[in-house]
Amino acid sequence: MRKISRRTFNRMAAGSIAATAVSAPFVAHAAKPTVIVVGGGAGGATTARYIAKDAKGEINVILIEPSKRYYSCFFSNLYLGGFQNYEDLGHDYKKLAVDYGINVIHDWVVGVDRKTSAITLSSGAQLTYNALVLSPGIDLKYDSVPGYSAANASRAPHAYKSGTQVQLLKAQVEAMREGGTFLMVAPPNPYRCPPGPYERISMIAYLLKQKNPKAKIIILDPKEKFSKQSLFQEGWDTHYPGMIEWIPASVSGPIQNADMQTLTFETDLESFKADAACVIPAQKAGQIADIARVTNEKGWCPVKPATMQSTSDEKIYVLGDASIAAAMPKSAFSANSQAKVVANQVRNALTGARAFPARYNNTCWSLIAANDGVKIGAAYGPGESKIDVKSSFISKPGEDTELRKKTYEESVGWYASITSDMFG
Amino acid sequence: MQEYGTKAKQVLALLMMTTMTTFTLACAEEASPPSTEQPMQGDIELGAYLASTCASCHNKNGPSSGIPNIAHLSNVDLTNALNAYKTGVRQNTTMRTIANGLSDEDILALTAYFASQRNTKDEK
Repeated sequence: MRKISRRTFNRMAAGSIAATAVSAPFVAHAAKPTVIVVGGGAGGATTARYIAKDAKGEINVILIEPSKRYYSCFFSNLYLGGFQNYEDLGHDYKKLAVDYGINVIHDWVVGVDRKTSAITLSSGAQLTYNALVLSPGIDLKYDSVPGYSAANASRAPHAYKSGTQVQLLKAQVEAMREGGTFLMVAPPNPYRCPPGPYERISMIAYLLKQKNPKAKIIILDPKEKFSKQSLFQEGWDTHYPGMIEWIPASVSGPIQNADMQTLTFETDLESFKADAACVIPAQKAGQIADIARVTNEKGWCPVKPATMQSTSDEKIYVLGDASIAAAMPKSAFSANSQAKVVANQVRNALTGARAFPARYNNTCWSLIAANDGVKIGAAYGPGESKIDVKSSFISKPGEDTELRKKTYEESVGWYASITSDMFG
Repeated sequence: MQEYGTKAKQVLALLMMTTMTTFTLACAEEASPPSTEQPMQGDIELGAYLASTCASCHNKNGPSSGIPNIAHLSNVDLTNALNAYKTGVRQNTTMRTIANGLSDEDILALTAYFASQRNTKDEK
């Protein structure tokens, strides 16, 4: 059967209006469709901007984001190393509102009623949608590290949702005693930004090498391997010899207890005492995904690989870190790429705009030391049940310094572009 | 009657063949490849969708720092650059991965879209 697009339906509806008496409910139904986007990060802001830009007024676009100023998690490691100003990580939503006509609401979503296609804000306001886009990022499972909690997190900032925790972490590293120990608890898979913890180690090592060169760094890792491992370990040996010790759980055993007063981390192997620490716990989709009941038993959101629609509700699209988009990693680049697909699909669903086959891309750049940039990336396409890799690449150990410098400069260009692509 | 009938059929068949041949030739003329005066047109809407991938890294408003601004590239330069990444003449791994996923039709669509954007800019 031929599907009737919204646009065709509207034309038919207009014909019906001309031929028959107009009833009020019918007019209401034929009104401009509304998309509500929840979350103003790389996934949500990009989706809202592309729908508003390309729908040219045919769709009401509402973007709901609690923060008035967005501080990017990506590039926050470079702030720790001294390569990025903190304020340059911040971006606002003014252009999206003024230049693109997006209704930006700074509030929390506290309820989603899928039967009536309505959401509730913490202010009590209710809004109805024709399509709902959820891009809430991650929430942290603090108790995955025994002894760590939201209440004591400032003793060992996860700094994994950017913002002031990143500033706090830097201040604590800078305040370490001479020759002291910095300890990171790395997260288990899957988590946001696979190379992120190891780029962070590199940037903290860079900072300590200048200010506290006898300091040591310990990584307690529940994983047996990690992203760009050979590149990071080669870089650590070159730039920070003898400073960094990576200890996988197969060596230390799991963390039995983390004493956040004394910063003592007990494992089967031994107790590690730190002077400053960063604990990155296990993660799950942002809370709104649970409220909307689109998460699985592990806390992430299954999606259809061709459209990023939730497998449990075709009016809801989930993208970015909250979605199960494997083989794509959870990264800002992935979220921004998925947003282009979601924007196209939402316009198709709401106005009958042409839909194009999904194409996804990702590149994750990491900085190991000044001008020593590496990258990993791939092109992806929708498979039967998941998103598949089409082709991929990764920097090679032993690359010449000129190429590494160019790779770093490329990442700086990318930061300027993606933030412009998100916020206009 | 029978003999006449057979002959008539033969004449009719000959006529039909002639007509069909003429018709086929006429069609062939109409369907001949477009001349250089009528270049193939790229699909601008597809181009706009594909170009959204470019925008993640290529900042069309700002200066080129680390990643070049491609908004001003001519159709020929853009096509040549993408093909150079596909064939490995140009080496950037990110661009090679993206260009490998582009068909000739995709590249034509991209050039059509970028040309439309340049024209829009010129009008302003």
